[in-house]
Amino acid sequence: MSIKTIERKVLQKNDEVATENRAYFKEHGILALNLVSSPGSGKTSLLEQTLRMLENRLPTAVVIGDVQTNLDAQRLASFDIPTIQLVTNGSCHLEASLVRDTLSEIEADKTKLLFIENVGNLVCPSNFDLGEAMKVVIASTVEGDDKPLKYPAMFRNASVLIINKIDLLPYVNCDMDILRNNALRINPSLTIFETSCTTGEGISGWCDWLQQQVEDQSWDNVSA
Amino acid sequence: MHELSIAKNIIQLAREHLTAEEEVRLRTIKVNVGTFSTIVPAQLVFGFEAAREDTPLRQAELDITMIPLRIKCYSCGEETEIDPVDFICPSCSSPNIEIIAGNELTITDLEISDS
Repeated sequence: MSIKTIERKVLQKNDEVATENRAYFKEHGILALNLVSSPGSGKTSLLEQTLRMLENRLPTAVVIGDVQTNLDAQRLASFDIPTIQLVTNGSCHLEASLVRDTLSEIEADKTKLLFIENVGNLVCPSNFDLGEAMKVVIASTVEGDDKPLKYPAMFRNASVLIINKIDLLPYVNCDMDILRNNALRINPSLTIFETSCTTGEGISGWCDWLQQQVEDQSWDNVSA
Repeated sequence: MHELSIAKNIIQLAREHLTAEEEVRLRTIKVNVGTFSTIVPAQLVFGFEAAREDTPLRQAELDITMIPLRIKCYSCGEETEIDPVDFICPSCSSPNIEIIAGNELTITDLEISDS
C-alpha cells in the first residue's frame, strides 16, 4: 500500500471562485450580502420592503437562488433594478461559480449593494462561501425562539440577524428575549434588527444601517 | 443533502492527484470532517458510494475522522473543546473566543494498493 498525502480543502475550488468574487466586489465598491434563512422566513418580502425604501437612495441589484421557478424574481420585477434568478434544479445551496456567472448581468460600476438571496435552508449554505462581505440570517418569530441553538453554524457564521414577522408575536410561541439571547450565545457579535414586512416596523433602521455600511465601504475603497 | 455535492468534490479532488492506474487501485480516501462543519458523516458516505459508481474509483472507501470543535480564548489564552451551543470560554466565561478547529472539510491522504 502506498500513501499520497495531499492535505487539500474539499471545497477549495469554490473558495477560490469566492475569493475572486470578493475581489471583484471590492474593486467595484459593491457591498455583497448573502441572505440565508429557512424557507418561508420572509426573505423575499424583506427584499421587497428594503428595495422600496432604498429606491433612489442606493443602486441595488439582486441575485435570487431557488430550487425551482422564477416566482421570486417575478415578485421583484416591478423594481427597476437588475434581478437575476438562479434555479439550482434540486441543489440545496448556491455556489460561488453560480454567482460569478451572473456578474456580467450586473452593471458593476452602477451598483453599490448586491443582495444574494440563497436557497431557503439553514444548513447547507453555511459551507459555501459566495464571496459576500457578510451573511445576513433571517429568523422569523413563527419558527420559535430556539432556532439559533438548532442551527448554530449558520448563526455563528452570520454577521447580522434579522428577526422578522414581529407583528405575529402575540399569536406565536416565541419569546423575543430568549430568541435574542440564544442568538447572542452562539454569536455575541451579531448585529440584530427586528422587522415586520406587514407593518413596516424596523425596516427603516435596517435600511439606514445598510446605507451606512455602503458609505463606510466606499470611503474605505477611496482611501485604499 | 449537500453531502452528495461534497462527495463529488472529494472524488474530483482525489482524481486530480492520481494517475489513471492509481485511480483503479485507490482503496481509501482519508478525510477530516469538523463537528461544526454541518456535514453528516453517514450521509457523506452514502453520497460518496453513489457518486463513485460512474468513476474508476469504485473500490475506494471513505475513512472519516471527526475533528472536535475547539476554541481559543482571547481573554485568558486557554484552548478548549466545547459543545457547539456554548461559545464561551469554559475557564473564564469570556465570549471573546475564536474557533480554532471543528470547521474542517479536508482530504488528507489517499491510500493506493500496490496491485
